[in-house]
Amino acid sequence: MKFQCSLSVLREAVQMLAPVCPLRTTLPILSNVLIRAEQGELTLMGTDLDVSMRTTIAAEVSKTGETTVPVRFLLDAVRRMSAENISVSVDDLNVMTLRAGDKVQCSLRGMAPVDFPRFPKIEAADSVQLPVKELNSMLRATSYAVSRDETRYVLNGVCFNFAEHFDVVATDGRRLAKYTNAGIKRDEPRQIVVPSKSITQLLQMLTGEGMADLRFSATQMEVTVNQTKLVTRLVDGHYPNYTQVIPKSCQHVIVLNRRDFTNALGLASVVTEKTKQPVIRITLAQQRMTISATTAEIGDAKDILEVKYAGDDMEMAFNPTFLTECCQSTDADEIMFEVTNAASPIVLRVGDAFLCVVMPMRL
Amino acid sequence: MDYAIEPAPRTILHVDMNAFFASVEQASNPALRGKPIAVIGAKDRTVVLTASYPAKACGVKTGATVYEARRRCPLVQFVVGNPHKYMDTARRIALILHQYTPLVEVCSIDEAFLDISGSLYLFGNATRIAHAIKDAIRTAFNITCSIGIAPNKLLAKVAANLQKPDGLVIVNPDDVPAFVHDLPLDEICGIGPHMTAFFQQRGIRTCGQLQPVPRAYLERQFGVTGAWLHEAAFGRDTAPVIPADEEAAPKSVGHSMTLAHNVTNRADVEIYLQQLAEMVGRRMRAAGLCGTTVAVSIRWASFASVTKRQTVAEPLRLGADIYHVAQRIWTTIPLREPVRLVGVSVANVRPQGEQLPLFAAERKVLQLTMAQDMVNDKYGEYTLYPAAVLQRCRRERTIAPSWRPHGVRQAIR
Repeated sequence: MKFQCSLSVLREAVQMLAPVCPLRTTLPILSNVLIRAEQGELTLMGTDLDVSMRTTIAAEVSKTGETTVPVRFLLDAVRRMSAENISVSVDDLNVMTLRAGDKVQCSLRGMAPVDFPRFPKIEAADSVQLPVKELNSMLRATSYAVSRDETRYVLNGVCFNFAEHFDVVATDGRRLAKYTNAGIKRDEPRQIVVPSKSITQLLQMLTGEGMADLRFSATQMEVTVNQTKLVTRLVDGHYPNYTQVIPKSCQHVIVLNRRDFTNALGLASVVTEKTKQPVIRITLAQQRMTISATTAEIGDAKDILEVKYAGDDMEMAFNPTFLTECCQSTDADEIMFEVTNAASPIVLRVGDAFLCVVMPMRL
Repeated sequence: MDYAIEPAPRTILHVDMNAFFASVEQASNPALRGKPIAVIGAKDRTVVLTASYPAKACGVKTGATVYEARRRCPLVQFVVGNPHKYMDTARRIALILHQYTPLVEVCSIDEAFLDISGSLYLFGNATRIAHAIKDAIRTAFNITCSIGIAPNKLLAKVAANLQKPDGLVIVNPDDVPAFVHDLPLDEICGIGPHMTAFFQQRGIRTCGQLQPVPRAYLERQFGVTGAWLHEAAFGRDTAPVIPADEEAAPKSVGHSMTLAHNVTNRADVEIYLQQLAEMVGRRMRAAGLCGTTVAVSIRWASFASVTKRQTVAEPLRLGADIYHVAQRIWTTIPLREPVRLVGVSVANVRPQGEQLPLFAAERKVLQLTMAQDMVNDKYGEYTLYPAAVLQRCRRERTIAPSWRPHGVRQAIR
């Protein structure tokens, strides 16, 4: 096998695939990336058997063939090379030699491709198309809220709910983020739960313009963006009824400048940084919202925002991460802070599409 | 003009309830008063927990078997102990003690240290405080206590032990050298039979005789304890009285129990795991803690043991959640031999942030647990517990050595 291609394009492709390949595994070949050279193009593939990813880049192929090499070493090698093009040859013993110009050369020991798992095929099922940009914002706005608690494995995934709208939802049981795309309708409702690792991987490939093509069967989902394809296993389980968690109404709506609010949260977080269980307080009084935190170890911080609020005085406590992550996941200038009382969840809302429900802490 | 008040000398009180369990029983049942009685446990192979003074006079000692006690004192009446009653009384006594100083260290169910250096002038003097405490406890519960007053914890405890029942012994700072001179070594809390024997072989029986022994020699023999011994021989001790809320935060919370019979069935072990998990959860909530690492310890019939751990992402504080992880760990331990001891502990503990759950079902569980805790606080441990656990616990309740009066400080505030 022998080919020549753009170094930066190859580097990008390997970089995108690398996180899929597990470093520690009982099947050593999974730590490798499969490279197949065909006429005029190069196909790279990585898998951990749950998530598989494949991408195709243009190449000048002088001899077709396929091999596998450890993705970690390949990535480290191409990162350290600088040239316009790279020429690659693989001998019969699966030793891959990379050459960038006359002086730079690196040989990597690979493994025979025969044992490499086949790229999964998904039986034709439902499909949905939407712009890459839109899917990217939907996932960025929600995926941080997934649970890391392995005992609640359904919540370890992001829920895609297709019904009258397309909802993307993530929750860890204490806060919930939801992004709605009203443009996508389905007569027959369908709900799938995508593992969190696949979402991270998916975000890698959701760059640039174009359309993302989502197809899903009972157990798998396939996403195609341009020359890149990702197939992931779905979480087997019933996602909780999230609509029950979203408050139907609220007592007060406070309009906040997102940047100011984020800065205030950031300041309060300075003093809660080292505590294992950070707590910040939000106090509402006539025309003002005070965001403060006090810890014995570091000190205290306070920021008063002038807001339109005419209700009773109210004091609430929150995990600052829940609020900060939500604010950072959107670009909007304004954010609605919907509150009823200190023991009920608050809603941070941006337009009609995005909202985040956060349960307070007991004072 | 100089208004400076001379700081009061360090004054420590040691309050020791006399024959506590027996006194409580006698106080609540007049028919038992003045009689030789022995409080025993509820289990089959029980021993005497506390004997009343008339029974003690006949030689009935704590730890004696029922048979032995009856042989020594044929008239002795046995009373099955009621730990709930004792814990409740101890809690109320702690409340009385807190009226005289916030620095109260309850060191077991029937003993407490008070640092009254700061409140001496408030109440007159140490003797007045001691009498006031004795009167208050007698009035409230009709039981007596012995009090020792001394410049430090070490001597206060020795002093309290000198006069029983209903004693009051005062060791003034100036009297310390004379007081310790002829004090037998084994009177000092911390010098056990081993050390006593060691010194006896070298002809040392009293603190006075220990004083000339060089500190370096003691340190070589006993390490850090050696330095403490040297100070103790002179009646010196700087250990502070530590109130419950200033005790260092625990690194882990755990419970273990030796089973009444060796268990050969996996499912039976699980019931013990559940009980232990509930107990650990309850203690963690009482201390305002939650933790992420659960450990299960098993000791086999051969005394070999195994401990396995699992760490979860979200901190745990509910018995059911701890049990869930403990059970998962238990499935990874093959049952090779009969099980002798089971332990469950939670490490990586941190203050429990009172994050409320979003889902109503989880909030219900949390509210249910809080209600359960309140019921158990008010009506006593094991009033409301999961049914599987409850049946056995009722029979096997004991007072843990780490028992502390819960909620005393909060009640004061």
